[in-house]
Amino acid sequence: MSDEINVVTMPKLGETVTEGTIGSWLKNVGDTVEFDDPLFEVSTDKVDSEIPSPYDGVILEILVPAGETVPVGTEVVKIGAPGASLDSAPASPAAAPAAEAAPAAAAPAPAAGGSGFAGAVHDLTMPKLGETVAEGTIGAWLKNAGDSIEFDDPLLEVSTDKVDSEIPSPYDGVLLEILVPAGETVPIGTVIARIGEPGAEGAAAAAPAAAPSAPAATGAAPAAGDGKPAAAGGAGVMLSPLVRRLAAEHNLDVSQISGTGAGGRVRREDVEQAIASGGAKAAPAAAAPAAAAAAPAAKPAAAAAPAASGGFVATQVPGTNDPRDRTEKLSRMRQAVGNGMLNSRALAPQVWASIEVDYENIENVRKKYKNEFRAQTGAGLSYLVFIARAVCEILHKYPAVNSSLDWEAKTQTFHPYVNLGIAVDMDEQGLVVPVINDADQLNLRGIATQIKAKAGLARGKKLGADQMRGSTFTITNPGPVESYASSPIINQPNSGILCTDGVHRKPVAVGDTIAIHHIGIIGLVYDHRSFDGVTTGKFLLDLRNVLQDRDWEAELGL
Amino acid sequence: MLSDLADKNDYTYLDAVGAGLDAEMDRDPDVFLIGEDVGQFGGAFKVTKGFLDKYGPKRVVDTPIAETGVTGLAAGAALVGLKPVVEFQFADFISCAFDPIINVLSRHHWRTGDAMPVTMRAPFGARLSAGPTHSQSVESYFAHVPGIKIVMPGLPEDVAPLLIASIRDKNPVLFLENKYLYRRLHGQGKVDLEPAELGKAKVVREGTDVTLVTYSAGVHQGLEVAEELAKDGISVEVIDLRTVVPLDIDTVVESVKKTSRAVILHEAIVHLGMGAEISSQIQEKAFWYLDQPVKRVGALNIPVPSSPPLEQAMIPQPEEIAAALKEVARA
Repeated sequence: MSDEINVVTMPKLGETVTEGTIGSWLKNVGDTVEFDDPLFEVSTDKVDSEIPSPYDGVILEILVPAGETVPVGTEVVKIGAPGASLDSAPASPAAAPAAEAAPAAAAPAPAAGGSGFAGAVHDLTMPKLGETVAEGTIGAWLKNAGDSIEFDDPLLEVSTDKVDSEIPSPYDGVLLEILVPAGETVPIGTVIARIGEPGAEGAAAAAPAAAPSAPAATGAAPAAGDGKPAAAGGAGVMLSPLVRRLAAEHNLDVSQISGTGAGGRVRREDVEQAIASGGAKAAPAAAAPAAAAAAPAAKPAAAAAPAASGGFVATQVPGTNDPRDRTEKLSRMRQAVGNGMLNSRALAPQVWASIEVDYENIENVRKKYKNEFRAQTGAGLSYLVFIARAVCEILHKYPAVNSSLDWEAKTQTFHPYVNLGIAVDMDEQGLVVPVINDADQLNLRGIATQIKAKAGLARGKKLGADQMRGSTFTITNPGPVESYASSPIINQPNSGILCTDGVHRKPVAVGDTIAIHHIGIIGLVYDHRSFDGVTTGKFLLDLRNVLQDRDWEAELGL
Repeated sequence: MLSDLADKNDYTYLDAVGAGLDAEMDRDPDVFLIGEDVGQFGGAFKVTKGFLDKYGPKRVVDTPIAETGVTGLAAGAALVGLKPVVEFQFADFISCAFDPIINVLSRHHWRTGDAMPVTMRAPFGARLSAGPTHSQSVESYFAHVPGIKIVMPGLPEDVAPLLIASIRDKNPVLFLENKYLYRRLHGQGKVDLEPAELGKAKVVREGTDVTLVTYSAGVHQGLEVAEELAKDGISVEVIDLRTVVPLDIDTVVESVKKTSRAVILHEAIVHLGMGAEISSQIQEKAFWYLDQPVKRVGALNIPVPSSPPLEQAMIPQPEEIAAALKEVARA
């Protein structure tokens, strides 16, 4: 078609490359180019490449002069159909029926903007939604032919055997034509729709004949690629399969590893050394997991991410070597606590949420009754006692918070009782978590005496192993050391751990006046596999309300 | 051979072949030997010396120079329930028997479902200045034909166990003995007469930098070179395939995944030799573990010369093997 105008964008010359510098233009405006003719040179921080023309045609306009650096995907040159002249302007793609009369070419693009221009028709191709994905099925078109669309508007849904994704529009404009209907499966790179410039009319006849697929639509293949595979460490570097694999698995930037092989080749041993020393990490962009709804350009990174994290092995970082240092063997307890912590962190994605609690009501009850309470029960009337009581009650409303996961078995077990673990400090040498079985059946007095009894057994190292097993939920209480807000680690196999931090006198608004109340933070670290933030929020809100509003005096039973 | 072994604690590769044959003939009256000069003469390399006296002419059968007929006769004997062991004086002469081996032995089981328990022994290989028709390595011809197992022991202690396993196998086995090793290699103690499992390679030296995959005489060259290279800090893992068909590629791949590099060594011509198949399978199964292209070391693509220096130039030498291993391990 005589009014066809193609746009070449800054190609992505490596997985982690986000921008490129035009080194020089090898063609001038007005030059005729053939497919594969060198068009311009691009320098990135990884590689310098000649970019061949993906089209036959005439250079209509150079949008980015030599020496300028622009992001990947920026339009850098417009190429008109073979024989096009520079000074004539088509009205729009819709004018095509008259094209044989009109001299072929393009209007000068708007000086500013860069998104679309008169006459531009973009091919949208089936994007590559994963390294090993060869085809995609169109789930649904979210726009109809003729609809105006904006850059990033959801355009269609694509299902592959790996992932279902909404594909956002890479352009502002008008959806001129849908070439592949919903439900059909086509190979990656197949042109599935055409998008015209803003204001264009949805006339299929206006669409240019299929050009080499538009690279900007997929964001994966380098535009006008030079045929070299984009290596984990950057294109143009000779890397063995093993080095590529290890670099990808360990998220290494191979360009930062010095090679000891022939001609500086990076050998297996060099990569192993880099892994052992924890160096040469690639830029975060390579590993950052892209959100599910990320723009198409982010897809390759998303596909690479699992491989990058899958093979990660934590390595010991060498410490100081100072003669004043003193190195001791870890105690059994320190090892046990440490292993428990490592295990929990490795098992569960843990999230902290918190709420501020006004303890004034409780404080008044404590002040009034603590001596009598101690005289009768032998136990202190601490904040923890009230919190434990309230938690046991509220856990019945939130079965997920009082549940245990078995991720391998893909099961979640809900406990209709509360076996409450209480973390007890062992003179700073470690922690143990005695368990109060069926704590939800105890009143304030029962909980207070049980906490005292179990803590006493723990400190006296008289706890049996069976008294530290079977918790369904755990509380840790750094409040006595006046912590502000703490984020503990879940006591497996619980789904949550409550943290009761320090209670301080603080000015608070009571109605329209300012009063001094006893205020503290309560935090919940929870396993985000078990439940989500809303559940946590409601749980904490209920807990706060019970603590603040309950008639604790009546509950005391004194 | 028969009487010599009883009171010795040291045996040659050749002794082990004889001991394996003797043990299996002793155990199983269906086993018999057939070939040129296996009886009166005691075999071209004296493997079967004394067998005629011990087992008689019905079980130690001298034949005319007619490999096609001998092999065909063995096939017929196997069909009526016997277990013939054919000796080819030199592996080079096996080409005379190509037709019965390919068209009868190798596919009998596939055509009929019946057994074809023929064992074919053949001394092969160069280094003895025996010229172009008495020095060849023939394994690749037959490796391309489905239905023939190919056993090529390198270590003296493997010879009898593999030979006994070959005779007991219900289908044709080509048992190739490197004749250069016959009297140069010694095993210690008594000959092990327990059958080995065919198709199992053996890691004969452990290493971390490069895997040397080899068999037959290559095992000894490889072990010697590996010992030398260890002095330069290059750690070579040596794998003795023991049988090239079936090929124990799992052991090879497991090793290559560890070392990330592989060199394949055999005395046969490199061109379309076993190294081509092994190399191909390594890259198919362990591509992402490779830090270097897989390298092959073997003979030049010419007939084995009679001239001793030319013969040495044709077949792999320790310097060449060392250079290949060093390059792959270090470059």
